[in-house]
Amino acid sequence: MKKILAVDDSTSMRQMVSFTLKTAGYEVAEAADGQEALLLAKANQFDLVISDINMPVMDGITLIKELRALDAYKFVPLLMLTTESSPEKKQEGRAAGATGWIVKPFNPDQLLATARKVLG
Amino acid sequence: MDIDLSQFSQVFFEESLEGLDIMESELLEINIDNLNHESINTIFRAAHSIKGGSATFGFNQVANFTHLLETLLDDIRDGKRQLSALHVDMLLQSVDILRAMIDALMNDSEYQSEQLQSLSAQFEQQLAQQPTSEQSEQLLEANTQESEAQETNTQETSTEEKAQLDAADTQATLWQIRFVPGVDILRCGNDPSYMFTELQQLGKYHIKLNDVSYPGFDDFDPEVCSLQWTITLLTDSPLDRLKEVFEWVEDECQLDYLTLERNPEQEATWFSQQPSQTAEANNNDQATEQLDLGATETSNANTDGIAEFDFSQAVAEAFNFDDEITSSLNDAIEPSAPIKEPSAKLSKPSAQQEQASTAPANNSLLAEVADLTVIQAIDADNPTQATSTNDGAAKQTSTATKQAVTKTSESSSTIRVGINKVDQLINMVGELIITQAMLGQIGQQETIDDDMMLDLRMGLEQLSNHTRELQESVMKIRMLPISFAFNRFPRLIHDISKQLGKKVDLVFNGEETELDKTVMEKIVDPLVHLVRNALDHGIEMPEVRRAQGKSEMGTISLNAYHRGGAIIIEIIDDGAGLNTKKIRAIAEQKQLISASDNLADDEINQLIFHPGFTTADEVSDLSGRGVGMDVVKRNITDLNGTINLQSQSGQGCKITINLPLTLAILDGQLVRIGEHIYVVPLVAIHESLQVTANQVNQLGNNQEVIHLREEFIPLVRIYQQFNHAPDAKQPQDGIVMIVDNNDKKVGLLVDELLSQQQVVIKNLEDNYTKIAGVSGATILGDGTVALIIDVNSLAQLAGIGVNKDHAA
Amino acid sequence: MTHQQSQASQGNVNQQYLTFVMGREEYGVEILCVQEIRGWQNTTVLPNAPAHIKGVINLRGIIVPIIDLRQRFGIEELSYGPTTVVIVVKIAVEKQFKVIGIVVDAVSDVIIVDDDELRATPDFGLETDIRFIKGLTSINDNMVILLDVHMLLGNEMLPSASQLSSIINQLEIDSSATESE
Repeated sequence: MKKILAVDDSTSMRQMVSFTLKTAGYEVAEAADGQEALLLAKANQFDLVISDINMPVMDGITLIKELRALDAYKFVPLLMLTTESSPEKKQEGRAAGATGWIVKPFNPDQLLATARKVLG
Repeated sequence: MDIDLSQFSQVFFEESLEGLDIMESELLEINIDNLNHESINTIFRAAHSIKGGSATFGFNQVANFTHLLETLLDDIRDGKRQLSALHVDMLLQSVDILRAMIDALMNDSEYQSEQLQSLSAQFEQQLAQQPTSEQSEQLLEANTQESEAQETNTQETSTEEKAQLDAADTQATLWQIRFVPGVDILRCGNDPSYMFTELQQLGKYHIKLNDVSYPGFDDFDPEVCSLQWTITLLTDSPLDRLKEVFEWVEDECQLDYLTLERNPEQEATWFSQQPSQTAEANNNDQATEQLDLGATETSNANTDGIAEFDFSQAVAEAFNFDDEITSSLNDAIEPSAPIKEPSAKLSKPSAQQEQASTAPANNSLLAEVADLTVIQAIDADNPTQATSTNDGAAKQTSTATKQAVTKTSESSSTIRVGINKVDQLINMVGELIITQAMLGQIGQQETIDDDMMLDLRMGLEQLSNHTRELQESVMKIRMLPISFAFNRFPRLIHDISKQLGKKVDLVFNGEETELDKTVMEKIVDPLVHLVRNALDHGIEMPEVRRAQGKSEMGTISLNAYHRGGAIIIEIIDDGAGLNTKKIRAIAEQKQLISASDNLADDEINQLIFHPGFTTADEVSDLSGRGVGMDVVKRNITDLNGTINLQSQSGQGCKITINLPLTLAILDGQLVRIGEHIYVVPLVAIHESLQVTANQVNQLGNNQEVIHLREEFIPLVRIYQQFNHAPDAKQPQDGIVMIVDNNDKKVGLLVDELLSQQQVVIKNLEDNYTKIAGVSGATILGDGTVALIIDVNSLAQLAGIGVNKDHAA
Repeated sequence: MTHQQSQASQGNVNQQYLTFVMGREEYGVEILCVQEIRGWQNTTVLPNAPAHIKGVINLRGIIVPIIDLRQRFGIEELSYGPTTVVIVVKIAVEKQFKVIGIVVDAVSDVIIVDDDELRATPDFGLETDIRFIKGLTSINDNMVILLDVHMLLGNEMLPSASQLSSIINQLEIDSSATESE
């Protein structure tokens, strides 16, 4: 079973992402900020990380940088949740090592299609 | 997939209101001349979350409005705009408007106000004013980052797009995509094979590796992508859809999209559906690939299945050129057509790269390069194999059960409350106000005489009564009749009994019994499991029942009733009962017990709660009795509940679940032992008394009993079990509390009884582990922690009435 | 755009560690895990817990166990005073977090350790279990023992001070030997 880490400081978004992925048969862990996510990522080996950008404590860009620097996450797909209105965030994310992005708002089907795309 | 997003709405509303509170308090503290960057960030994040959530859950009015706020805040955050007093004022107004909007959404009503129009207009106007020039420069920079190739590309494609528009949608277009990935593409976790898989799903697909030079063995860097491809695709998807496939990497790759003239002959070779074990397959760059288009298993096999083979090993050994690679691949996998494409050179990963993360990337690339028939071979072999290689089938089953049982914890979090409960609350608040007024009057007196003092005491007593009643009523709001859980069973029984050819009558008793919503949500799945078991393994086939002189129609009863502070749920069937002999045999076989163990039937039957125990010869569609029973038991134990099972061969089976009414609150009796304070659940207490020395008797092996009226009640000296230093070392020096211990009684010796109060239960196991004799913890009025005593486990600790609990 | 990612994938992260003093030794834990630093407050004793578990406290509504690292290492106990410090750490265990407090003598510094500078603990054979040590580094000629926070959750007794210092001495001899080479 593929393991996915969902990171978002908004509980409802996190629940929606996590619930959708679980329903599709993935194993999901949740974190409310970048720091929690990094702690979880070091304690587990996830096959995919989906993270919001704007979060307290440690933002998504920093999280992606930190994850990419870990051997275990060198090639793991890291997706960021962005809004259409922030092209520079996309650039920043790409520079940090993000694999790609999911544009908010998205619906469950789009989320699953994207997860399947990178998890095969 | 059909996921109802409305279940998350309530959480979204709650967190949005919280976010608005935060925004408001931050805005009120802002100092325009000395901006605190973190507080701007906080405000931005709140607006951003509300926008994201509202757009996702379809609250467009909120989303559109917060978008304005977000844009402005984003500029301020990036230093592109100066925050003005006007902005602060506008943002504060926005907070009010958003609150009203969310209130309206929560009440299913429409929000309309002129203020919204005018404020939106004001934001638009502010945003229309050019921010500082810094921003435009930044944008320019971002644009110039696009490579020239990209730009010429865009020009080319714009003409193609026109062509695309002219063609009718149903007309498939033949595209040729030249894809030259950037060398660092793998370093961002991107993998060309994802993109190929996605393209395959858009139409007929053919891929060919381009002839380019590769680095030699010594220079080869497995993290660098030095391959490039030409993909031919016959699809009716528009160009935009094709571009979307490469959207994440378009900035760092060269991508040319060309439309080709339709050419049936060529297409036949490109998109041949023949298996490739034919002679023609030896043709140079002709398709040896042959894919089961659009099947997701294919891609699974691609990433997982292929990774099973030690390609790097095979390739490293054969490291040479095409044919040898091919032969070693063929040895490694399946016979397939030789590959005439120049292949990637793969090195054996060095030790530090043995992170395995390089392997999938390269393997899947190689798979693309090599021969896609291979994938099909694996796929045809066992489509699910690829996904389950990591966990054995057995493990999968158990996770499936676990999933099924934990699923409900994520139900929606709204609650419908009967109007009578609300009325009751309002009445209480009314009384509370009267009491408060009376106390207020006393408080204004200069001096307090004796009469006043009496009034004061009476007032305070009333206040504490009101508070308790109010708390109970508030707790009741969370209580729902158990019929919410029972309602699903008629349908379930109907479907399954039909499937099995059994006849069953389902009887409910006490479905109006109320319990806490959270407890209910967590108990539903275990109940489903137990009812299915009763039907699947309990109730016999009609002819069997007839032969045994029973009525053909079996009965399953679900009963619920309150007892003390607990709810009891019974699942009773009049079927065959458990096969105790078989359970014993399996338990011995699994070495849970030994053949010499002398156990009562009841004790043997409890073994089905042991993890991993199953009596199903084959795991049927409906789980074997025993499969998942450990999970059921664990779920109930997690709720601080118990589950018991009684079975009579040929007569049926009765399962009794005992659960607390609520997880959150408990009526407690505070007691003291030395300097330690503990909470004993009030429901468990029969009486507390001082005993005399001659009421205390010794039974054999160190067991003390209290002789009370006609009973002999085992005594537990808590200080001994918990290793504390007490005031009262002897029963006659302290207080003995007579409490329930699983339908029996036990006496607990404590130094002193303190107050009785309702306590909020906190979990100890979140950050620590389970402690014998303790069920949880609570926080007292002074902020200190007190532990809550678990009578059953304390009695066990003291060695009283120990049933061999094999399911420990 | 093209080469910007190469930067991110170099893989040498500077890890920040919070260092603290216990007895004569200096230890460090990854700062990522540190949630807050508090003074000592009285705890509620947990019945039959191992000696180094001092009990639990209420941390903003969460019940948090407090562990005395001195006792964990078998270093001579100190009475708690106003200078005693509790470091609250958050540890990821599978998919959950655990929050625990560790009692130390004093917090000293935040240091940055490049992964390359981390000296792996030499293998002493089976006589001492030193899995709790993530690595060693020296700051101004002082040996700092970087702890693996996950070991804090265990209950086994860790090598006593004397064992530990003999290990450290051994290490220091080793390291000076390698330095002089």
